[in-house]
Amino acid sequence: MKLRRRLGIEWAGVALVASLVVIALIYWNSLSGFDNLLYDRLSDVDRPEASEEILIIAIDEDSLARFGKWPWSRQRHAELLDILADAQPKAVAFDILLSEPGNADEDAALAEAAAKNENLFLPLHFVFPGTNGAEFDIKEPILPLRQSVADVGHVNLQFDRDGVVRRTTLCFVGTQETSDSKEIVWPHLMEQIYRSAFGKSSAVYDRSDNCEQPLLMPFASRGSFSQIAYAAVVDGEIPAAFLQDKIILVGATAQGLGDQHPVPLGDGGTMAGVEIMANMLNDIQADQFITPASPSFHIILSLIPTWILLIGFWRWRPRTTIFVSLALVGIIFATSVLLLSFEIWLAPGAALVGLALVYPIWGWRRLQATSDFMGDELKNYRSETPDIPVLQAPLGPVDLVTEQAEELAHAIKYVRDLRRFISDALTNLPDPMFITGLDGQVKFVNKLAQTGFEDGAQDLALNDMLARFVSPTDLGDVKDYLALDQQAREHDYVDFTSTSDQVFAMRRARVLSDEGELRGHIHYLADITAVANAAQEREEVLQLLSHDMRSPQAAILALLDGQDATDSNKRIEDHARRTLALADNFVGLARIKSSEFSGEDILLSDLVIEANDSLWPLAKQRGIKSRVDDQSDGAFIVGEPSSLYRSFVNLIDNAIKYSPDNGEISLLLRKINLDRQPFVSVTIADQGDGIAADMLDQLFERFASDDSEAKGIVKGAGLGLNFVAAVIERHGGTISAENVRKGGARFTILLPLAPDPAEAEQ
Amino acid sequence: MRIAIADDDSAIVEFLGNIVEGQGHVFVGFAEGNALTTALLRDTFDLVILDWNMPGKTGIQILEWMEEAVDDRPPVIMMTSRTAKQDISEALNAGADDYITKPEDPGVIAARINAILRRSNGAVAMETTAQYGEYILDRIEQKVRHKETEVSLTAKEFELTDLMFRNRDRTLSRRYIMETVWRTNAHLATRTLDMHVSRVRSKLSLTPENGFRIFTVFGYGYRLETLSNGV
Repeated sequence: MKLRRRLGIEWAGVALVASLVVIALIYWNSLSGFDNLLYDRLSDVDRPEASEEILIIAIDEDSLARFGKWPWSRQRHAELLDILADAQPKAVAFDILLSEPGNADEDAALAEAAAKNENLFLPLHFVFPGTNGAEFDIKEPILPLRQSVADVGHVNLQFDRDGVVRRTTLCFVGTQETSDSKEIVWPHLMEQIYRSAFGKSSAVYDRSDNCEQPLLMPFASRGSFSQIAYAAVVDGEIPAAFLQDKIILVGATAQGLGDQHPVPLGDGGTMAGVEIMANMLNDIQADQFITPASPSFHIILSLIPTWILLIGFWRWRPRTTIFVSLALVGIIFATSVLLLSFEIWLAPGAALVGLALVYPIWGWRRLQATSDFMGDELKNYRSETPDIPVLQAPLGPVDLVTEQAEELAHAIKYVRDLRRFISDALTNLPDPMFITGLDGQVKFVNKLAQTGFEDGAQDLALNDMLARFVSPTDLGDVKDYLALDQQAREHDYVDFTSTSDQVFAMRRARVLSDEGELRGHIHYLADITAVANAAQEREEVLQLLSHDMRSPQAAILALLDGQDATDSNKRIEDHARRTLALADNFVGLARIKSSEFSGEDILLSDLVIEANDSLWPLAKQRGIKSRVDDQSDGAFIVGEPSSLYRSFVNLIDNAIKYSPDNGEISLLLRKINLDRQPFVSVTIADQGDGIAADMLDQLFERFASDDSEAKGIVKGAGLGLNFVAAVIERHGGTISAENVRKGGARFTILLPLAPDPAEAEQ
Repeated sequence: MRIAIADDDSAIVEFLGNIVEGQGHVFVGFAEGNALTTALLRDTFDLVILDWNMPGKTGIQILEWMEEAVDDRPPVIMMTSRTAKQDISEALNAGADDYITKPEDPGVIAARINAILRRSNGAVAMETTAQYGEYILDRIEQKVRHKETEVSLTAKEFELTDLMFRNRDRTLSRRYIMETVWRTNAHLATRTLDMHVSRVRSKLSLTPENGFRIFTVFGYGYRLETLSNGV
């Protein structure tokens, strides 16, 4: 359990760290190098066709050679614009920045030429950061020119971190200080061209909520667009028909003019700004931009593979996890490729890093947790069993985990030895025993319990085993015992005779696990054949004594019957009766000491009345009145009727013996409460001489007999009161004797009241 | 009546013989169990008085044998020196009609023998009134008079009294009493019977002075004894 919790915490930690890393990588776009490289490779597979409508008029090396070094006179540009105006192209983007005023005549000529073109567009540049703390400065064409063209468009390029131009935005949004801080949208020059050529804004522009969102431009292969030299046009080498209905982009391509930028064509080369713009226009026209996945979508998709693996750690074996990881890498790449074909770019870097991160970190933390756990367990194990020889010398220098594993193996070996030792010890136990599981199967039987089984009792059902072992007459008792609620009678036992006529006492104990769960039972068998036989013999001796001592006395009394009631006959009869009483008391006492108490409900008043009635002839002979005053209101006690009856007979008999002729004996029954416990009290009072003071203390001890009466006619057997005391004690009661002031002895007996059955039911 | 008396002690056989003859019956004595069983097969007796411990067959064995082997067996009184409660109920449950522990007063023995014989000779016709000693039972009015005083009893108490008087000197099992008086063998609380017996005893003053006593046979039942040496 401890290990499970620890692993749970570690897992949560790994999951959190991996997720945060993935999110951070995406948020800060830290993997752009890898992702861009991959993007370049993928986009190389399928390059777009260049539109034939687009024509680049390039200020190339050839033109420079013809017209001399840059910058040229603006008169030259006016010449070009004049030619273009006559040729009637669809639109013209004049991608040459003319933001500083030059020669006024030339500027005027240029403006005039520009005005002849209906759909001429000029570039606009933003310089970041702007001067005097402004966000940016705008570099616009000079005012006369600006006023004579259709519109302007921005031409700022977007450079990735590696300096490559992959993206563009369709517009630029900014606030200009001069124009009362209102947001102004400047569409890109190419968007302006598109609008001019096709009379509407582009589909991609309409679709996007935010035209500033960078879009990835698919590039056509280098040199795909038709290109003619500036000089060739100006020199009239190009027929006007060729220019008609074309979308014309005018820009510098000559290396020396500096408008060259790295592009993702896989060759590391640069591309002229005007060709980049041609590509952009081509993409706008074909509506084939690639949209990068939004950050939240990117994060969610990138986390999925990591979490699949994280959840898999709980279920899969390490080998499965490896295969799944590899498959996930493939799936990540495939997803990127698939989405690319739908013009969405999902950079796979973060997802791959997440996978690459989570596997080793989890492996590390898991090993650490397991190692710590093993370390703790081994420490506990050592502290619990200090006598185990700890593995002292490891086999050469090894790492901690290997060492722990070796020690664990050592501990397991020790436990195995211990188990074997215990099993050997149990097997050779001097008393039979067996162990059962909760399923009722016998799990273990020691040697002694096995004797009597030809083929052993291991794995036998308990009932089958008992059927073979226990004599049929006792089988029911044993099963009853085993069916009892275990907890209620943990220390009880059952006696039975085995099929081989031995007598066993069977006791069982519970086998508990370390956590206190019940695992099974151990059954101990004690061979009590000798004890049982002795008890049996004693019972037989008692019966024999009882019968054989009583029978002759009964015969004597029978013989005396019908004889003359002479004095000697009377004395013989008296002696015979006393011998009878002695035998009864003796046997009764012996039984009490050797048998268990088994009580039943007794109405005490009637028992006392009947004991009194039985002695009526004796009392009547001497004119003694013996009355029972019952104020017990039908009090029941739990008792053994025979011995209680005999006890009261003894007590009343004594009272009669010690009473003077024509005396009175009073028996009083009452219900009383002592310490809130209900009792029945019985007092027996006579009018005799009382008990000698020195006898009071030892009245209930064996063979005590009131010596003061020894000379008299009546003489009781000393066993009588001893028997009474033993019986009362056995019933949880007390007996006491005292002399009453006005003469005579009084015995008081307290017996606990039986629980009311009506109350017991409630 | 012919009565078989089996006891290995000749003094006892003689003692019992005197009592039986005093009641106007004849008896045959047996000193050995097997002799008795042989005789029981060939001869007819109205009552058997059995000792428990005898050579040959014990009293219990003879009792069990009689249940099996003798058609229309005569009633049996076990008479023995064994006093243990278990012995008494064992004998009664084995089929003995009564159980007398030795030694016992001759008058009591005679009354018990007569009670058994009375029953085995068929139920006495139910008189509307009957007198037992100083007790007069009016079965129509369900009233008991004792020494000219009317004793107030409930219906069940009267039935119990009537049952015990009619079967005086005979041991009745608790079960028999419950089935006869309460007409049920269901789980009548055992204390109910104890309390009824106790009330009948005290209301009717069934004491030795009045010539009767109720005797509880523990673990078995009750017996109303008539005392010959009473008032």
